[in-house]
Amino acid sequence: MDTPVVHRRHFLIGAAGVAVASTVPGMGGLAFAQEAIGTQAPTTPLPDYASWKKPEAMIVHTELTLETRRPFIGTSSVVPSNILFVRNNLEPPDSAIVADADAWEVAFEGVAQPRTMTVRELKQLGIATVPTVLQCSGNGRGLFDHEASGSPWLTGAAGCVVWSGVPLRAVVDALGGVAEGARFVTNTGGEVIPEGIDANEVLVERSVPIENVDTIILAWEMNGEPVPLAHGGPLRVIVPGYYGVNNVKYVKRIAFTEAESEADIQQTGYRVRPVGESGAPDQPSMWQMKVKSWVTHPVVETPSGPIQIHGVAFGGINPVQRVEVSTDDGQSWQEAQLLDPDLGRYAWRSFVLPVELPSGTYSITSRATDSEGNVQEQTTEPNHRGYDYSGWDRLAVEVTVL
Amino acid sequence: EEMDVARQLITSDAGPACAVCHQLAAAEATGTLGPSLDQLKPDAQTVRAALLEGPGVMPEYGDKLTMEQMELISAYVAAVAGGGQP
Repeated sequence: MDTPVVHRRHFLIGAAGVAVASTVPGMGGLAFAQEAIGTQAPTTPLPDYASWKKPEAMIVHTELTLETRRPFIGTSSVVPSNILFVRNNLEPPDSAIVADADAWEVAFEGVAQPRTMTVRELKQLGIATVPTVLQCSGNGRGLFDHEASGSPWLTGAAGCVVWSGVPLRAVVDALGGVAEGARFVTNTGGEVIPEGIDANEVLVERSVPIENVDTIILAWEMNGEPVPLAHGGPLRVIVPGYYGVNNVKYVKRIAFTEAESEADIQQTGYRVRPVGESGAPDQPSMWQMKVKSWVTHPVVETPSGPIQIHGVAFGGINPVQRVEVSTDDGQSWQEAQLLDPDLGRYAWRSFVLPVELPSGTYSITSRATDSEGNVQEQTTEPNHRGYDYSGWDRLAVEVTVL
Repeated sequence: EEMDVARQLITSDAGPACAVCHQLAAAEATGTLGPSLDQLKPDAQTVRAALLEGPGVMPEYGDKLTMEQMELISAYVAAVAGGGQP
């Protein structure tokens, strides 16, 4: 087991109020600041474009990065929009674009009949509804020891969301099919890039393998409402099972291409590499997500007696098969019950394990297995940018049973 | 004088200049594309790491600036962000 480590950055998160929890020997490095997962009011105001979020549920890292506090995630599968995390790579465009959402235009290229279509036209081509886990590549960055640049997310840069929109396949069919030789779907965001900067340096343009053409949807609806500006409205590309960055917001161009995007965000950004190495195109891209789970209740303290330990689990592109829970720092495990509804392979699944625990301090964590037998890792080896900490060791919570 | 050099890098010379994307009142930087440095109030180490790594879509400056220039920028931003005086 790792030695408990309390990072300086953990003290900074949600700075006000409660002192950092004391570390307990043998409790596997989980002693990160309890205030960050607690219920304290935020010290930084919400940005205007996300002012409709529930402030007490959010950690405001920057005006472009808002995290959901861990215990606010419930058991009914879908995360309400007003507590869903926000990670914008760039300042969102003017809100006028969602005021007249149906007029938003998207250029389709690399198809037999390239053309521009409005959202209004896309709505005539077909509709599919897909629940997916939306997770920022950097979720868990704050659990690594090396101080990677970027927001020190804990668990709250993730949420399960229901999207509605047109299947990309239906659009492609209407445009005469994909051009020969295409290997990627390359999607371009509609953020406004100022003068004085090479567009490729900051452009949000991501390519994913063309195999995803049959699962991608172009969504105009999220959790039953038009996609808000903060989440990429009027139209967002949803690549089920892929990290958040691939789900391009305000999409204005969808191209079937032979090569990956030339933008830095594709070529050198979002590449997994050892600490200290620069990003390069031959390193793995942050595409498919890993199997992962974490406990959402209890996370700080709870009365003794019957306790319902619950949390969420997902398998990236595969459904979750089982979840086990440990209350002794991973020394022993008990099978948790997966809760209904099952919203499909790309959604997360809530789980519960009823236990009775005497007074004391416990390291509680969970471990998921997907349908392919992939087991959630015990620890996540450091990677330069601090992407996706999935290890059950540091996703554990230190809970005091009163 | 070091502060002047840092300010010059931030407002025009860094390529792309920090001011294109970030707000930093002390340097009269008014960019809004990225996070406001006045709100973020980063320490010098955080600024240095961001310059070297280029988190998210921020460019990496390791091949654009010298280490000395990055140190100057880091110290300046840490000193003035949030309305501090240079």
